[in-house]
Amino acid sequence: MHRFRFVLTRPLQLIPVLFGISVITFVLIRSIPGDPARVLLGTKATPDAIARIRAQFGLDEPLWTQYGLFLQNLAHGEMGRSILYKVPVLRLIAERIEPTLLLVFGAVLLSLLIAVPFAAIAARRRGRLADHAIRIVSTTGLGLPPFWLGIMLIILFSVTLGLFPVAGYGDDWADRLHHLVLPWLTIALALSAVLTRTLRAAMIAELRSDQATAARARGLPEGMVFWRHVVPNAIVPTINLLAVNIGWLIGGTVIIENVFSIPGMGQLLVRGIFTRDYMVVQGVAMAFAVASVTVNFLADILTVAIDPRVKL
Amino acid sequence: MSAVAGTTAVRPRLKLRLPRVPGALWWGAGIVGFFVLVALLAPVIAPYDPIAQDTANALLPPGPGHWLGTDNFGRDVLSRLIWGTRIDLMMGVFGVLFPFIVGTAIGCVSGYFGGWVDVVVMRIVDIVIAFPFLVLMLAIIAILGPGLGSFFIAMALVGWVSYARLVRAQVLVLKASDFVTAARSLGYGHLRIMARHILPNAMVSSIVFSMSDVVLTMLLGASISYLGLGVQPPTAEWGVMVAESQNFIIRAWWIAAFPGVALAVIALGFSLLGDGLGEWLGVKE
Repeated sequence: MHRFRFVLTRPLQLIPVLFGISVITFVLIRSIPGDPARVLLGTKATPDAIARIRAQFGLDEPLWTQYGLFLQNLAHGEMGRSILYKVPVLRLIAERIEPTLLLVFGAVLLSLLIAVPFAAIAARRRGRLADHAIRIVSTTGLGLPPFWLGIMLIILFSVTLGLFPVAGYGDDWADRLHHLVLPWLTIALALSAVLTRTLRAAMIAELRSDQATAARARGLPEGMVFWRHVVPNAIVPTINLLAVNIGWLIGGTVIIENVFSIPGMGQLLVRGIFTRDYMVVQGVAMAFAVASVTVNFLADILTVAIDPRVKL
Repeated sequence: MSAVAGTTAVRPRLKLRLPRVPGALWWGAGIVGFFVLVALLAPVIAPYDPIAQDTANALLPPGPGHWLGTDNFGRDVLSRLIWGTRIDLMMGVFGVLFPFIVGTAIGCVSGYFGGWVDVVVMRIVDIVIAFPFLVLMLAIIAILGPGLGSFFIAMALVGWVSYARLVRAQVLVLKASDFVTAARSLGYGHLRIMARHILPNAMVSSIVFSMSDVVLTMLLGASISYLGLGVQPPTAEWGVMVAESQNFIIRAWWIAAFPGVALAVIALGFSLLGDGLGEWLGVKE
């Protein structure tokens, strides 16, 4: 279990990063011109509410005291209230987290289902027609704007074929999944372009590895060598790639939620910007940053668990 | 003698025995060159005024007169596409140029001097990278207000980290090399060593990276404009065009379709250019 010691030590190294995230969000919100109390409460705030927020965030104190209070409030799970929705930001985020999580996980799963077979075909037929075709398609896929891809899928599958709803989020589970098919497909198509390229390269390297040669020498058929010995080893760099791309994935989710009007955290963020609901913007930005740090940490654990050679 | 040999080795650095120019580089340069030409010649080749409304001819499908059709205000889609090339190319190029300059300077100083400067810079890089790129961009734009200027400022504030990282890693290797030791033993100042001896070598991989970064930045700029937080209507920009088209997709697919195709093709051009350049200069990703 020596290899897993980092599970205990790494969170300690993450503390400065989390700290930094709080500093950046704090600085961002405080750099909005104007009286911070009015900025945070909106123009229609009552004098009473202004006095309350002044005390809570110490807005008359020096900046570093304000930051201390900001941290203290954060530690108590207090991220302020939304001007628009009149509820605590934390509750808003909690309500919006489900569609976003569903969107991200479904899209990752679907993109693996697309990328693994295509990368396998390309790697095993390297330099041949299928390989070239897959490379061209995946390079093109890298440049497809996700918001546009989403709309094209709506035109094709919703408007023309009538298979899926145009936008929105369902009431019961079956309806929700039905609504999520096109958003999943949109993100998955873009993500699988990245994944296919990396997986292909990793598979080609593994096909030439000693252990693949050894497996062939034992007389295993090439198919068995590939699926039992090459693919599992090519998965490890893919996990890391997914973790590195979590920021991109979150960004994609923000855009796609707005294309399909899915009531998730991304939609909350963009609406918060339009309505100058800064507490919401701050809360969602911080939540997304913490999520991406966490995902990278989990990916490290997963990598060590899968590959006994990796030491962190 | 070795010091002299080291310094002379600095000059012919770009006269490396370069392999044959790969096909991808030609294709990439061709595609990108085409769009640059379109952007430059926009006033000459665009058949109509990109923002002139002509409601009598609204939502016309592609056909003679309007090759790519018209939008809900009767504006010519082809003309808007041509004028949009200017804005989208500019977003890609300047959106990368500012971070490139800032990041290269910071990364070079950080790697060259090391010590606490390096520690501080690298911690800041870690923190900025912890934020999802788009989310941090949007948070900054939320404060500055929507617009193209905000986009460039936000890009410079967020995008420099990748360049700082890349350049710093190269500088760490290069500053231990013989030709830098030689330059130092000749008594050159830090600035001269950095600017003349280290940077030209350290920048190769970030130049290659910047090509694929242009693709991402252009997509990002278009995405932010699509969300309504970047370029504002009625300016002809591809993301804005797609956003404006969304209410009419049932009747008019062409307004949404063509801007995305243009983005995809130009993105492919820059990808090929980056891949080809990387292959040609022997830079590994």
